[in-house]
Order: sequence, then structure tokens, then C-alpha cells
Amino acid sequence: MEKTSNIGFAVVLLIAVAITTFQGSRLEKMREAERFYRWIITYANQARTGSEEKKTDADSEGPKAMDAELFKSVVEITDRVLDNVDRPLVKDDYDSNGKVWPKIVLTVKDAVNESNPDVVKERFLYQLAGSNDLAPQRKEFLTYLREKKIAAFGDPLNPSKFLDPNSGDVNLGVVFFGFRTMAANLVWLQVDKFWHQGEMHRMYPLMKTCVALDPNFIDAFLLGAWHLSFNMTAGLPDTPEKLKVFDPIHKMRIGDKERLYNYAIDFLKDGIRKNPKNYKLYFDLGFAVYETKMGDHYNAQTYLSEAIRHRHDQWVPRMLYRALQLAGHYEDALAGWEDYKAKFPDSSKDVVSRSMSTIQGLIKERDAEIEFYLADQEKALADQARKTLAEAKAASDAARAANNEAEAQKQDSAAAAATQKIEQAEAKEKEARAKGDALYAEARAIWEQMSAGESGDPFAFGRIARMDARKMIANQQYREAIGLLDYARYQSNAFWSEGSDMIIEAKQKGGIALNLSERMELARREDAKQYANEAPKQIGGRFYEYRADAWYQDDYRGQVTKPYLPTPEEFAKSKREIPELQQILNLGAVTFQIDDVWYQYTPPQAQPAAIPAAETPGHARIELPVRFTTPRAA
Amino acid sequence: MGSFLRSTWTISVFTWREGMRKKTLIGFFILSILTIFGSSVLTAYVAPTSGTSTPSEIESKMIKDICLTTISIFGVLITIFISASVVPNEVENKVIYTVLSKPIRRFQYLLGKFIGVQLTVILNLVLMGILFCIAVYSKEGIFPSLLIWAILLTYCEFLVISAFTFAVSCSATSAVLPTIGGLFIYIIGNLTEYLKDVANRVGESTVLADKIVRETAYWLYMVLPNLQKFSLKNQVLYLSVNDPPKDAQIPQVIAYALACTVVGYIIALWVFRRKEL
Repeated sequence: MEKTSNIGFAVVLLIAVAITTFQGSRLEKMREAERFYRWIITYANQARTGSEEKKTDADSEGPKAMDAELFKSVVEITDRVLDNVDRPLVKDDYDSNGKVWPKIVLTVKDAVNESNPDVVKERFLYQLAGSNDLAPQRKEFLTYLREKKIAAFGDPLNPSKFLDPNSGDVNLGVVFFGFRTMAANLVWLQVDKFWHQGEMHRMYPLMKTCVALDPNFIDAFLLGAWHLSFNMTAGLPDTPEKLKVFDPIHKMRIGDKERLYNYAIDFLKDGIRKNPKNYKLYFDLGFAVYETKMGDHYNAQTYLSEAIRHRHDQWVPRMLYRALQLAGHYEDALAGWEDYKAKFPDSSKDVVSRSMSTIQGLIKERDAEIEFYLADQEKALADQARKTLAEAKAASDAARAANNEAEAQKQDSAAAAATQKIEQAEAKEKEARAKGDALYAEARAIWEQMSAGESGDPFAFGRIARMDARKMIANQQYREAIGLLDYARYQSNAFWSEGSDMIIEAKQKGGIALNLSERMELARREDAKQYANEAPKQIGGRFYEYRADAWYQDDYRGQVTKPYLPTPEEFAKSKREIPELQQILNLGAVTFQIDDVWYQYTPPQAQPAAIPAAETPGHARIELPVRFTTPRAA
Repeated sequence: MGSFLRSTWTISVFTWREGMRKKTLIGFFILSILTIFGSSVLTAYVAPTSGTSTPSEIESKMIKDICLTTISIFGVLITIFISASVVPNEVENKVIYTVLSKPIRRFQYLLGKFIGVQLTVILNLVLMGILFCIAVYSKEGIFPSLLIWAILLTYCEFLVISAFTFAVSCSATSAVLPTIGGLFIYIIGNLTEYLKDVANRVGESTVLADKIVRETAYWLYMVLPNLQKFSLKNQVLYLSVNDPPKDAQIPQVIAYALACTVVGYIIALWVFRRKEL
């Protein structure tokens, strides 16, 4: 009886254990699918923002990252199984080469859009990650994860960094029995203590430990990056160019400040990999580090655009529009502000209205300068035609003198054609210049309106000063221009850098002695020129590297190129649509890509100034406005 | 059936009353209250900062972490102490002989005791949860509704520990051994993940010893209760990033907890049936 009872119990127990094991294994599979789902979302976001970890065999720490290869394989499958996105495509659905992102990337983009969340797509993605369609990729992913070949999640919690280097792969979380977050809090209190004690050098390792213990400790990422990029660099002088070293990971020459900025960038990017749905990380990376500290408008736009895709505070988009404005994407910035105004009609009316006026003024100035550029092109054509006309007339006279009537008539018709060209070009030049003048006047009216009154806008004030100083320099009124610029740069922070550069320019043109700081600035520029070719340049999200004879977009591998010879109208159009183009051309001889076409640009012997028109001589003498010579009321 | 349930419930209520009178549990409970309310004092040391973070956000996070940790630590201690002591104490006091001399089956007695233990654990957990809610509400001004899910998952973890501690206690005559056993169950349950690492590290080796180690580690990993599977509570509470839809995993975690509990209870019953009383 007892024996039978025991057997019965054993059977029941075995069945219960089998059910538990089955349920445990089911849960395990769900967790694996969940990890894969997180990776798809994280990597798709990183691919779109260009922030994926590119760890190679050459890197000293850890094995090569396999994320890119694996994602490629996921894209192949998902392009087959997913439907096309059920909405019209928008600008950021295209990559930098103008190709539409793969379907999985667009699905993730829609699914994580907090302002318009597509819960159905989010759930669908979760199911897709656990489906049989992606089973081989999921298996591969788990293998790579075990082998530490997945970089998309950022620095994993690697106990070898904390404990014995040979201790293996035991997850430190296990040691804390799930109380890792508590441990992270205690570490953070220590970080806070060091901050108050001014021992900043001791903070960085602890901050890394803190976020390793609690990868979702968002504030640790934010405050850590803030300490690195703002507080630790506050008292540091700029590193002279010759003392900077090349940083192959970030592809730039760095000094002490830049090193700390890069630490902050890496720290925040690690945070984004672990928390890709939190807007604050994108915002701080875009605004605080890239925009404010590094002046990198392209990356600022990229991350601020991502910040507003997730659930965010109301003021966040304003920083994106500001970054767009600084990068020269005025139309996009203006459209953004209009959208903001429509959504929040009662919010910060002054700021919205001032920002919109500023952008409208800048658009008018840019368009005016484009018109002046076109006028100059027409003037050059007219000059060329005049030369042809003179030559044709001379040839005609010579032919007549030689009694060669046929040749004389041929030259006469060439002269007539040249005359016609001159007339056409002069008319176009006149028209363009008139348009430019009108636009300049409109821009000026906007600046005047904004800078009027006691609480006038300093930015507008700087723009007016810039306009007047340009004309003064063109009129060779160098001393007046210098006086105006010197006053204006102290009134308008935004104008400081440009105003200072213009002072140097005016002094050089007028043969006026430079002061010590200006001479040092020129020395720094000369110094920088020596190392200019040693590091790649990042423009508009792409890297350009110097290869023996010229600059090349870094992914140029001998593709067929055509010379970059745009018509003035095409050039003007691209100035509006691709503000970064001028920076690319300023590199000198450069091979670059626009919309799948590779161009080769060779600068002319004497390259004309990019915006010469405003300096065209012939303006009436400019008098210093009284209010510029009188300090404004406090 | 009605009589079966009634007498089981009577035993449960009795066990619960007895549990609530225990000074150790009251001590743990008071300590947990002090820690939960003391969390505000600890967070006062955090410096005010600028940018997008406000001190209150970090304070809220710290308060949640401290409270959740407190609930876990004191909750698990309360669970282990109560689960380890109910049966051995009755054996020691000889009360069990009186009870079993009545028309009550051992299965029924054990079930009543187990439910009574769960009532005590749940009551403590609910009280600590309410205090947690008050602490968070006083800081954020919003009722933390996600806390209910977090506490539910915490309870699932306690349920598994309780069931296996209960099984150990059925074979013991005093509460000391089951208490130590309960603590070991807690530690081992949290270290089960390590077995997976062991299996993975052996890799694809074809050496027989390695294969044995790999298979043993793998099957132990599969069979032993894994308390790390309940670590979802942090995710739930903080609405962690990239989380899959919550309703997909929580029911499965609860089902896993129930399955583990049934295994624990069957072992307890088997041991208890063989006990000579």
C-alpha cells in the first residue's frame, strides 16, 4: 500500500516537474525572443541615426561586432514578409543616399513613435521577433550574444572589469540577487559626493560602474554626460592644434576638451543603446553636447529629430528647430515653428514669433545673396561677351581692311550675337541685383523691426551690423566697419565669432595693424592648416578623407565620377536645398556623392568668394547710424 | 466538499492569526516601515542638478529602488521565517497531534497551513505595498498603479520560496533547519542562471567529462526554480525601455510560479505523509 502510494506521488511529482520545466523553457524562449525584439528595435534605431557601434577585429577590446551582418540577414527576411508601410513616405524615411530605409526600419520607426504610437506595429514586431520566420536569425543572435559579438546594447555588464579578470562570464547581477538598482543608487551617491568634493577625476569610473549596474538609470547617463562635457571642461584651455592627437574611433583630432566631449558622447550613446526609447538621452546628446559644445549641427539635428519621435516635453522640438536654423535648413526650421505654433498657440508666443522672424530674415538674406551670386555670374558672362565683341569687331575691321567681305560679315554677325548676349546678361544681372537688393531690404526691415525698442533682439542687431559692415568694407570704409563690428559683437553673442572674423578681414584689406589676439587667431588658423589633411572631416553626416591628392567621401571606391559643373541656377538651388554643399566645396578638390551620382569638383584657379555680391563697389557712402555709436540703455 | 473547505479554511485562519502574533515578523515589518520612510532621508543627499533631470526624478527613482529592495529583503525574510516555522512549531508544541486526531486529512492540514502562511505573507506584502505607494505618492503626486504589478511579481517569487521552504520544514522538527534551508533556496534560486553560463562555457566540446558537465548544468538549469525569472518587476515598475507588451510575459511568469509552487507542495505533502506522528 505504502509502496503504491509512493509510486503515485513520484509520478505526480514527475508530472509537476515536467510541467514546471516546460513552463520554464517556454518562459526562457519568450525571454530570448524578447532580447531579440529589443535588439531589432535598438539596432534599427541606431542604423537610422548612424550611431551603430562599428567594432572591428582591430579594436583591442572584445571580438568583432556582428550586428551589421545579422541585421542584413533580418532585413532580407523582413523585406519578404513585411508589407509596405501603410502611409505616405516622408523625408526621414530615406537614408543619406536617398534610398528608402528597409521595411523593418520603417516599421520600428512607426512603432516607437511616441507622439503617434503605433501599438499594433509594436505588438506585431514583438510577435515577428518570436516567429518561425526569424528563427535562424534569432538563434544566430543568441549565439553572438553569448560570444559577446553583439554591440548594439552597449557595454555589457562585464564582471571582469569589476572582479577578477579571469572570473569568466558570471553575470554580476546574480551576485546582487536582483538588487543591482539599489547598488547603483549607492554608487551614485558616491559619485555625487565626489562632485561636491571637486574630485571629478574619480567620478568617471564610478559613473560607468553605476550605469553598468543599472542600465536603465537614465539620470546617471544624463548627469554623467553633463559632468563630462560641461563641468570637467569648464576650466580647461583650448589645446593648440599641434598638441592635438588623432582619435581613430571618432575620426578627429582631439585635445583635452574634445576627449571629454567624446567621453560624454560615448556615455550617452551607450545610454541610448540601453534605453532607445528615452527622449532625454537623445536630447542631451543632440543639444547639450553636439550643438552647444561641439557646434556639430548635423548630429544635433539627427539626435534632436529622434528625441521628438519619442514621448517628450513640449519645449524639446524648439531646440530641433534652432539646430535646423543653425545648420542652414531654414525652410525646415520655419515649417517646424509653424507646426509648433499651430499645436501650442498659447505657448511662449514671444519666443515663437521671434524665432520665426529670425528665420524669415535669414531666408531673405540667403535668397538675396543667391541673387547677388546669379547677378555676378551674369556680369561675368557679359564681360566675356564684351571681350568676344571687341575681338569680333577687331577681326571684322581687319577683314574689311583686307577686302575679305565674307569674313567681315561673319565677324559682324558674331559681334551682333555678342551684343545680344551682353544685353541679355546685363538685363538679367540688373534684374537679379534688383531682386537681391529688394530681398536685402526686406531682411533689413525684419531685423530693424526686431531690434527696435529697449529690449531689441541682439541677434537682429548683429545682422544689421553685418549688413552695414559688408557695405562699408566694399566701400573701403575699413575703420568705420571695424568700429561698428567691434561694438556689435559685444552687443550680440551670436555675432561674436563672425564679427571678429570680419574685423580681421577688414583690417587685412585696409592694411590696418592687427592686435595681439587677432595675430594669434591667424597663427592658430595657419597652425590648423598644417594638420587640416590629417583627420577626416564630417560634413552633413558624411566623412571626407584626404587621399594623397584630394579629398574624397570616405566610401568612394573608384566609382565613375563626373565633373561638378552646375549651372548658376542649379548651384543656387543646391545652396537652398543642401546648405552643407558649400562646406564640401570649401575643402578644395573633392569627390563627393549627391543622390547616387558621384561628382568630382576641382576649384577654379582663383576661386571667387562664395558671397561676393554684397561687397560690390558702388554703394553710396555708409554713415554710422547714431544708435550704433551710442551705447544702448541697460 | 463544504466541510473539507471549511476545515481547511479554519486551519488557514488559525495559522494566519498565529503568524501575526510572532514577534520576529512584527520586528521585520517595523524595520521595513522605517526603511521605506527612511528612503526620503537617503535621497536628500542627492545634489540638485541642471539640464533635463530634476532632483525629484532621481529621488523618485531612489525611493522606488529602496522600497522595492526593502520589500524584497524583508518580504523574503518574513516568508522564510513563517514558512519554516508553522509545521515544526506545531510538532514541537504537540498541537499537531490534537489537530490530526480530528477528522482532518494530512493533505488538508498541510493545505490549510500553506494557505495560512500565504495569507500572512500577502498581508505583510500589502501593508508594505501601501506604505510604498504613500512614499511614492508623497514624492510624485501620482498614484503608482504599476506598483500593483510589481508587487504581484514579487509575491510570485515569495510563493515559490515559501513552497520549497515549506517542503523542507515538513521534514524538520525545529524551525532552524528549514530557515537555513529557505535562505539557501533563495540564494540557489537566484544563482540558477549561473548554470546556463556553465553549460554555455563548456560549449561544443566533445570530451565526455565536458559533455556530462554541460548536460548536468543544462538540466539542473531547466529543472531548478529560477527566481531571476521574476526580475520582470523592475521593468514593470519603471516602464523600462523597449519592453515588449507587458501582458505577454506576466501571465507566463505567474503560471511558472504556480507550477513551481505545486512541485514544492507535492514534495511537502510526500514528506509529511511519511512523517511518523
